Amino acid sequence: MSREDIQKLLGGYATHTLTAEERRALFEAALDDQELFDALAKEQALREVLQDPPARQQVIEALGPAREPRPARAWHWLRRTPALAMAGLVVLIVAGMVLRLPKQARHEVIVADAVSPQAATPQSGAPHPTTTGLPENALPLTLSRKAKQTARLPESAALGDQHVLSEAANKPAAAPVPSQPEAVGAMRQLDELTKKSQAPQPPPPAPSANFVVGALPSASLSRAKVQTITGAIADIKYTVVLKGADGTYTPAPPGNVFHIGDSIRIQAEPAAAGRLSLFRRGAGGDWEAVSSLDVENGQRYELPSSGGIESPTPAHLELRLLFSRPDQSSQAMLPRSDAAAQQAGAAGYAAIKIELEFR
Amino acid sequence: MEREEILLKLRERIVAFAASRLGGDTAEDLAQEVLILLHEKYNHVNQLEELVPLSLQIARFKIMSLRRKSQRHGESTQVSIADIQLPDLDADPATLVERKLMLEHLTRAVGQLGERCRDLLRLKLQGHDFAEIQKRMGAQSINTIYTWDHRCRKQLLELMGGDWEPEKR
Repeated sequence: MSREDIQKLLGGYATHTLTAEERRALFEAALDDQELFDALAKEQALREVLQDPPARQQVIEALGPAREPRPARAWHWLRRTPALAMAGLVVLIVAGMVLRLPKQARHEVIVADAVSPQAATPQSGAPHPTTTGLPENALPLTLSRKAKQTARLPESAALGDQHVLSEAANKPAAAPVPSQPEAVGAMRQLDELTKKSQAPQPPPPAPSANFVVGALPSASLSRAKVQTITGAIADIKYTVVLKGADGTYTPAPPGNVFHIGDSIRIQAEPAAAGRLSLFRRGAGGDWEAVSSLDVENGQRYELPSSGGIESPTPAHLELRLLFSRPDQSSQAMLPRSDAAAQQAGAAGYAAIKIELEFR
Repeated sequence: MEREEILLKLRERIVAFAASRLGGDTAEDLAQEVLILLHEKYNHVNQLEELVPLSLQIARFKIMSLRRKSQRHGESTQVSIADIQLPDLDADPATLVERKLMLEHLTRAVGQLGERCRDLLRLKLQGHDFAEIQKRMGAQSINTIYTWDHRCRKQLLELMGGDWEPEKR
């Protein structure tokens, strides 16, 4: 045995682990090696403690229960593995379902954020869209709306006639657009959710006012309001146009007052292909379709395309301009985060509530 | 190897070991006392495997009693050989207390060892030799067991403060 090998036996001296041959080899080496002899002498104290059976047993107990032999541990591991694999599979499936559900809801309906040019900056901190659970068979809506705002009109505000509803740009691929019944269903859902969210909202300051057509000499004379419904939406420009004496519809000039007999249309220019629908709340509270058009990206359309919206009596008219885009079921088109959803505006509906007052 | 040859070598080793702990003259005297005891009380012990551990045990007892006596007298290492008593290898009360203290330290320390070290030490204390331990622990070679044993002993010694005997700390 080499000196190195002998040194390895040192650890067996105190515990009486060595065989007779190993002991002899160790002691013979120690007689000629002072360092090894000193090392043995240092082990002597431990050896004396451990040669006492009760003391030995006490140390064994302090070591804790013995582990199973390696083959047994390996067998148990193998038995556990299928169970772990099954558990992992279940977790993956559940996680997949959880991740999938919000995405589905998100791309089914995206509600517009209608922001007037002057109000854009103050409203930028408004709540972001949230996913809302809906009743069975109902079209889910992603909706978080701002408070219904009724602001006094500025005396000499030079408001533009076009209003960018959202800064987000989205170029969805052409795909089948929702049918009219689907759009009406969406309107009903939107209306219900809008009602629910109106009550507790505090009124915002006047500068973040709603869309106003024209600058009026008196704020109480005429008002047109855009109900701001936050959500992701492609760029949609729209204008309230008024029928002139020559029968043509032109943007309502600043200071114009809507009167009984006025005929108006909504001129819209979507930034994506889809379907534009205009709804008007009827006397019974139900939404009635005024007009609906398949639209192309960048084209200008007027709704209704024939005739106009009129009020024979002083009234408060509620309109909804609904833009529905093709359903983008492709996972690649889905936004990867809520923020992306707001920016990208995945497929769905964009709704703008417009309120007009006729006197 | 003959008994006389073994005792001669043992004396040389004991003197050197004791000198590193007690001092020159005392070490010589201590080694002589060990040999006297082996000759008078353990004359029937002839085998190397018995003589080496026995001489180590006697030498340790004598060193411990010298230290205790030195502490009682307020001396350092200046101990006359006349004061050195032949040790009775049956444990005296002081030795029993020291062993008890050491056992307590040892018990605490082993509980802090890693799983492998605890397995290895347990098998050693259960009386298995290294070859059996290799099989039980599933090591590829016995050298692996030696390496593990070396590391575990080192770790245990560190946990006990660098020495098996608590009184030296």
